[in-house]
Amino acid sequence: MDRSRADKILADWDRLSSQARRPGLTPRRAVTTGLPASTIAGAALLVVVAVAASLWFGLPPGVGQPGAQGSVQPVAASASPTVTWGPLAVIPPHGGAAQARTEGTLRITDACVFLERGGEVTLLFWPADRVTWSAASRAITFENFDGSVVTVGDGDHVVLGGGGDTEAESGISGEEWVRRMEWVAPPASSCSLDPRWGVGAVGSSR
Amino acid sequence: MYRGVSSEIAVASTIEAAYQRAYEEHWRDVFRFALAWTNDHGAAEDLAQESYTRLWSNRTSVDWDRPLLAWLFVTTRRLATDRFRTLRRRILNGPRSPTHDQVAWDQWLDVRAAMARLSPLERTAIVLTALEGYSYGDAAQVLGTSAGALRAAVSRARTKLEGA
Repeated sequence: MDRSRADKILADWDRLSSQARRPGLTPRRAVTTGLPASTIAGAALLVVVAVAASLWFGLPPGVGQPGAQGSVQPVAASASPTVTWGPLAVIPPHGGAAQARTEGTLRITDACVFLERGGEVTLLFWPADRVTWSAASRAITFENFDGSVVTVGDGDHVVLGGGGDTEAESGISGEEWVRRMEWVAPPASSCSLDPRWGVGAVGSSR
Repeated sequence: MYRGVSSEIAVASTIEAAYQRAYEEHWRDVFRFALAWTNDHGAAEDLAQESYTRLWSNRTSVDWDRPLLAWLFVTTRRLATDRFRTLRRRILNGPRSPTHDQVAWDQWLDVRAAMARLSPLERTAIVLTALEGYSYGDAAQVLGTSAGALRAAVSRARTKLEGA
């Protein structure tokens, strides 16, 4: 008996979706076990000069094995007892990030942080659990999901993972967007709010 | 003091092992659930990873002795509908999954087009019940709806797929 059209589509869906490969690295945030630092054996900061593909698709097979992230340092979580965000627009932790990418030159002013590309500036906003701001060096340190930590400053060429939109795409004005979002530190009113980009990964050729 | 530290290390190791096991055993199920809900490969990978990140973030409060799959499904569904959904629109035009060859990818695009006729609830409902072996009641619980609504969603999904 012939299968119905619905059954055939479902069978194809079943077969094709089963071909997906689990990423080698188990996703997790910075290690905050409360254990003595000495028990986080072999801890090392992995400062990565980004190759864009590795940001979006994870490390090549064989590079990272499940469990290998036990050596990730709690950089973002322990950077400072008093958190100051400086010019960063910061949102609460949200446990993930979109996987689109963009790149350009990082611009840090007194009130705003932008990505400049082809004469267009895009407001950047950051997850609170993975970013820190250094007022002394005016640098941004970001912890990627793969455990790599990148520090960038004004004028650096950066490759960013994450996602964003524009007022034209979403029909949501910058002001309305700010009202709808939940903020740890909202963007300054003087910042251009369109387009905007939620940073999910950072690579730098600094 | 040393005993306390050792105890913490033992607990951390146990959780680490349980998390690793949950990742290895359930990742594909979570991915397929997310794929059914979003109908987008990249977004599904993203959501699956997000869900496990949430599990890790909640590792000290999760009951690791209980089945975790339903927790992961519900978390995935909530993440898929949270405030970041607008940001994910760009994924739809983003890079393809590197795990597919060209033939499989072309087939997937056909399947995706057919499944796009269905709502997220309809897609996920029919995948859970027709492919994953969930009862209407269990699927309804995961999807936050009633068994009746779930049954109706499955029926609509079948009708739409027959016409695809």
